[in-house]
Amino acid sequence: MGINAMSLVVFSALNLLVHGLGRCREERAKGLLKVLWIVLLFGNLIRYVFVYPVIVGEVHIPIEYSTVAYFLVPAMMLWNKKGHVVWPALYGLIAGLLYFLTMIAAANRLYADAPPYDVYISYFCHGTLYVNGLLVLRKNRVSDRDRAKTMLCLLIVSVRSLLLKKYAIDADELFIYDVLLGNVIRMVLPKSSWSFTVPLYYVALNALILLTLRGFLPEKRRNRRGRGKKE
Amino acid sequence: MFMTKREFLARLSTALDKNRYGDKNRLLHGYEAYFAQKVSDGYSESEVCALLQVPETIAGSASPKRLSRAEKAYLKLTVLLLRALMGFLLLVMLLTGMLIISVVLSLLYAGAGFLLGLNPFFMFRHFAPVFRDYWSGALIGLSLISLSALTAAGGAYYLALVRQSLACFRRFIENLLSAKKGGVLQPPLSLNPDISRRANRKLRSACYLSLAFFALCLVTGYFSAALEVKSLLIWRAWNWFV
Repeated sequence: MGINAMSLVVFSALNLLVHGLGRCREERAKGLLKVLWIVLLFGNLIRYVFVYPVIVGEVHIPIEYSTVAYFLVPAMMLWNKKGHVVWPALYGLIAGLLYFLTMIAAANRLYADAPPYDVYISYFCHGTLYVNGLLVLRKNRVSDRDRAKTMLCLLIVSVRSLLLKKYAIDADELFIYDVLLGNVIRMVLPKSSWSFTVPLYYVALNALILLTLRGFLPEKRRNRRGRGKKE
Repeated sequence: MFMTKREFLARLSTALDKNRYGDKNRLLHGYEAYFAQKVSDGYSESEVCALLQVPETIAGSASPKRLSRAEKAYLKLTVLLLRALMGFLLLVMLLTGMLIISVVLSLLYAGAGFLLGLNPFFMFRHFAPVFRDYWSGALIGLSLISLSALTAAGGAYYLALVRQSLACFRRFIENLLSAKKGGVLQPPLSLNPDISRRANRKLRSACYLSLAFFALCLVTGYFSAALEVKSLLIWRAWNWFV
């Protein structure tokens, strides 16, 4: 249970950090975010290009939603092209949020045997994605196009991970396959119920993603709603 | 000349009355105590009298001299300065002591938190067995680091307090000197540290945050360890005091 409690503490600290950064000067927050993007991008480049193949002796391909986000989000943020800032932030926010919710709920079962430094690195990477997502979405409006791009990105990462499954190291331990192949249901429920529970699971999963994205309404619609309520 | 205690004190009292000494009773009481102490050491009353001066001489030396106004003012100023210096030295010593204690405690907490609790790469393996469950230990380690931050904030406040008391004393001396020279007196400084609003707000936020984190990490660390060993008495399960 210690790792779950630690995740809760880290998640609380990140929310406090976002609150603090939201109140401080924009240039300062941007400066800190830039440092975080560079550390996230280059740190993971070193990890995947040098540490895993040369020191550990295994070639790891970024397959999980989060591991793709480690490269995609900071690269897009540093590129800073208009129209390509909000959707990576949204994608990173979903990856970070889901990671912390999973850690708080079930880290003792999923990551109990992981070495502490791996968990700390993971906290840093997901924490950066989460903080970046919240800060960017505070300042920018989310358009329908951004939501569509995020959905498309999720779809591409899912298809790509299914195609690369045979090249993945310890594929059975990767969370993305548990989610995509419905292993979560298969582990918990009896085989006789799979015929109807597995399709139901996919419907629920899609609904959850759509609802998460619906949570970030476009600015115009949000304003209209706010005004409507006031009137 | 052989005298008893009673005779000595009677002569002293008469001589003091003659010289119009103000605080006679206090002086007589002091000599009574001196007699009692010496007698308990084994001296006879006449031997104690022989040790002392003649009562009339004592009364003469105890009588106040007539001082000029300048001498009186100088004496007053010296007494005032000495008192202020002593008070100031005591205050600075106390505050510096608190500052040193808070810095040392802060470093100790941070070191203990890192070595005993977090220790992410198990670099200091021989420190780690204090907490049998790594993550509970890490939380308690984090709570110690938060406590270290809280103590450091306290240290920063003490530093400001020491600096302010030094500034106060400097102002006091400057005012004394300018009074002597006939210069302009500056208003006295407050002993409360002169911290800007922004720094004060930051210091307060740091205190609240570190206190909240200390409590959160300690409580979650303790209860997660208790859940792990299925007992609230975690020290028994971890064989701490065996």
